Amino acid sequence: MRGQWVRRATFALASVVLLGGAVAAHHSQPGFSPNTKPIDLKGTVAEYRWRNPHVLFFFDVKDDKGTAVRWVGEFGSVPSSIARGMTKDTFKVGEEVTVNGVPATAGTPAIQLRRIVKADGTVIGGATE
Amino acid sequence: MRISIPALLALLMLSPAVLAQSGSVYPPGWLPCPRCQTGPERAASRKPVEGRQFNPRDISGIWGNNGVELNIVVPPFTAKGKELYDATRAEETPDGVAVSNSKDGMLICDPLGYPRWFAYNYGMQFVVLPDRVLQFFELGHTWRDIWTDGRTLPENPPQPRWLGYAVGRWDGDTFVVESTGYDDRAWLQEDRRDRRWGFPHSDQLRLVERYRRTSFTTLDAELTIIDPVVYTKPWTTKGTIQLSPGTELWEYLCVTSESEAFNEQRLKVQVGAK
Repeated sequence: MRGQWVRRATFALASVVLLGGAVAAHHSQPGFSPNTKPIDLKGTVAEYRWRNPHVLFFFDVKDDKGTAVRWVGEFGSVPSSIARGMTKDTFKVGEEVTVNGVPATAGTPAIQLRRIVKADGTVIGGATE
Repeated sequence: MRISIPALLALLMLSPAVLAQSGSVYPPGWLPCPRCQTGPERAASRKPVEGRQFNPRDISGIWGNNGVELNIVVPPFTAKGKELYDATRAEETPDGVAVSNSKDGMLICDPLGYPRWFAYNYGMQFVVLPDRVLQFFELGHTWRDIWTDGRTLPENPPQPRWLGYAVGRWDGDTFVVESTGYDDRAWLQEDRRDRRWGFPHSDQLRLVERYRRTSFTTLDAELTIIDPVVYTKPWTTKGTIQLSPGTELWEYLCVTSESEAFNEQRLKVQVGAK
């Protein structure tokens, strides 16, 4: 019985792991609901990963207890991001940002980016294509 | 209306066209990839060549920036085809979150195969040689040989291929490509009506493509999928592909380690997988 549960759990996890290319290639966004209200998060850039399949954006947000929680958002592929005017230098680690987007339904620190406002007021649009 | 200098500078900084023109994106002498161009960049690079005289039997060049999606009107499946299609259905997480395309080999960097690279490629380049036409794809950074040296298609291919065996010939001003010998692990395309499924094919798949250059900047493309094991009728897709002047193909490889990192650090988090 337990073995069966482990196999099921492993299979389910493998299914989730395999999600990557789906979003990478065709931009499906499992885990986000159009009915979820967008939120604003103030934080600092932890990593801006300028790579395919999609550019990743990690940022740290302090929770109520002052503990930093690392959130993750994504832009499109590198070519698509370039077409949007972004470069590998658009964000710098440590810079302050206000991130607007739809949080994951699961309550995990993942966000569907809508826009990011830098400290100088520059606005970078998100990517859900 | 007055615009402050800081606001104007901010606007300029946001403009992709300005970024490109200032050379901050592309080093001198290097060109954007087809998909990298902004709308204004694309229009500016096409303008000098619009209406230019052309040789209809020269299809060389970089075409499009995405591929030609398969016709959304899908012919009925055979019984076997329905069975194969049903088997492509994606799994769900334990919480019931629909997992898109989880059985898609592309997610683990399997080759897209053909005609999936016809339907999705980030830009395609024909290079015409005396004995063959090379068809390069930015996505996957690979190519297909279309032999024009008079050889015929193999009746019993020694090995199934992700990109098949292809021969080409001219029918008037139309370049006709026939191909066979495909590996049935590839999908024709994910089902864009509902991406939890994909369109399968068998090892009996045959394709007929017809390309006709109708102006310097346009290439009519027609793809017919013939697979009686899976589909009850031929499935034809037509489209016009725009030339992408002022571009060059970049390197878009599917890198397994990058995909794994993406899956672990983004996708598992967003669907709430432990």
